[in-house]
Amino acid sequence: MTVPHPAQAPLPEAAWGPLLASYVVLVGLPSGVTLTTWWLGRQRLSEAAAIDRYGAWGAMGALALISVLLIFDLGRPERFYSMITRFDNLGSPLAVGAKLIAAKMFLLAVLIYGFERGRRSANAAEPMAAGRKTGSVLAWVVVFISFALAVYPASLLSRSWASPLADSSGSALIFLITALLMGAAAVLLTVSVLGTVPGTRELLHAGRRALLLLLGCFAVTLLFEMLSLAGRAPDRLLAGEVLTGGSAAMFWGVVVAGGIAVPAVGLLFFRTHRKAVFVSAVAVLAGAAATRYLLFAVGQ
Amino acid sequence: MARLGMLVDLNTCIGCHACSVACKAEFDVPLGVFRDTVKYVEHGSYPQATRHFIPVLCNHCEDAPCLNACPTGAVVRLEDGEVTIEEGDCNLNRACMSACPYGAIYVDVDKGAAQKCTFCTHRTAEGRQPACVDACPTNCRIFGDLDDADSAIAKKAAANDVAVWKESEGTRPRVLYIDPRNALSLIADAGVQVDQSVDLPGERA
Repeated sequence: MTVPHPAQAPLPEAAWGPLLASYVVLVGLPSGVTLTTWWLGRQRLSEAAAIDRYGAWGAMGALALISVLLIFDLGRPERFYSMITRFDNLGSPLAVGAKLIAAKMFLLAVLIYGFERGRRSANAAEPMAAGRKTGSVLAWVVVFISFALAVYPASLLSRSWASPLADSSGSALIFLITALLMGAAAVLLTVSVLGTVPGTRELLHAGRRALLLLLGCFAVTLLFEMLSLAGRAPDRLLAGEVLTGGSAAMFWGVVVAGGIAVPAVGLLFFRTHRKAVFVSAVAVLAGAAATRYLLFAVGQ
Repeated sequence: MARLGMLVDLNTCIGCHACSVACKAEFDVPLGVFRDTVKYVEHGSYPQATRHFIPVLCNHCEDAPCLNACPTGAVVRLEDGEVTIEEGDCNLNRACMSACPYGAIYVDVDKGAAQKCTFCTHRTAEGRQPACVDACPTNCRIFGDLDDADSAIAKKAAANDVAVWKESEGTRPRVLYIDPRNALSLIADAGVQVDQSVDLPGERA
């Protein structure tokens, strides 16, 4: 009987599994929603206040979901608070990320309180009338935190031997763009489903333009990412796994065809069809999520 | 303050696993995971085939990736340089395991914490040797202060060419090897933990 020697076995299975993968994929969504709705709100659309409010609620819901994922991924979920309360090691991306999530949730709660209070007040046209300046500052802080949370998975995964693709030159930019894509797609999806929201046409138009621009940036970034992986031998192995190996079906099928080509066609040629917008948004969400998953999983 | 380290002479390791067993017994290490084990690697082909025995454990790196990765400060460096895990501060986020290129850290479900080799701090504090060093029948392991020129480890390290495991990772391990046949390069892709998912040939009992 031939028994494989321990040294012939690969490194043990990666320490982070499906829950952390889901977290890495989904953590882009609240950042994208915040950044997208903030940008849409600054486009002088008639429903800017409503957009900000929906964006805050949407981001809060998504953050609550990913916080649950992060907590349940811990072997000792009852000690999750130590990620927030311990400041011993701010060199750990996970420590910084957890604190940023907590800070963003707190600030969003304050903003939501302001929005809801403003809605109920007599001067509904200026929901933050009592503290507009404070609200504006808070909104900017939330935007910066969202930007940080959009790129932080690159820093988190680059420290893990199990996610070598996240250590590549384009990783942070891809995480940022996919977060924005997810946010823009989620907003378009919501608008196309609700349909009767005031200012729907304006929103669909602005959202569609933003999504097309982001898809172009995404395609270019992916191209240069692959070119950067063509240099060193270990990087070429990673590129091979993505382009022709075990992850090729997901890359070509979900990321390139589903995440870029299908929505580009839908948004360019069927711009007035709400169903086309809906399908395009779903395809973008799937493509962006698959891209983030590949950054997590390729090379394990 | 000492700079504790270990020197493993691969010329004299016979792969008996006395070190692994002693470590398992000392810390009640669960089945399927290891603080210290011995890799068996066959190399070459008949008639030049050979087998290497390579003891592996946490390297207590000078630039420890696990220490930098822990978000709760549970991974700490002691005064003499040993890298250990404070069980009470660990919430099992496994960032240290993801960061360690040696696969030296495992989850102890019973203790509810990540665990690894401590260089037997409880023994060395009493002036004793780590359990693996005590158990080795060929004295292939030497433990001591790397900065003390009169220590056995420093003398042997100075008198021989020493190597470290996965030098390219830049972690500056404190576990040194005398490795005249370049065996460490054969386990460059391996870790202390062993993949338990591989199918072993043979029939079920």
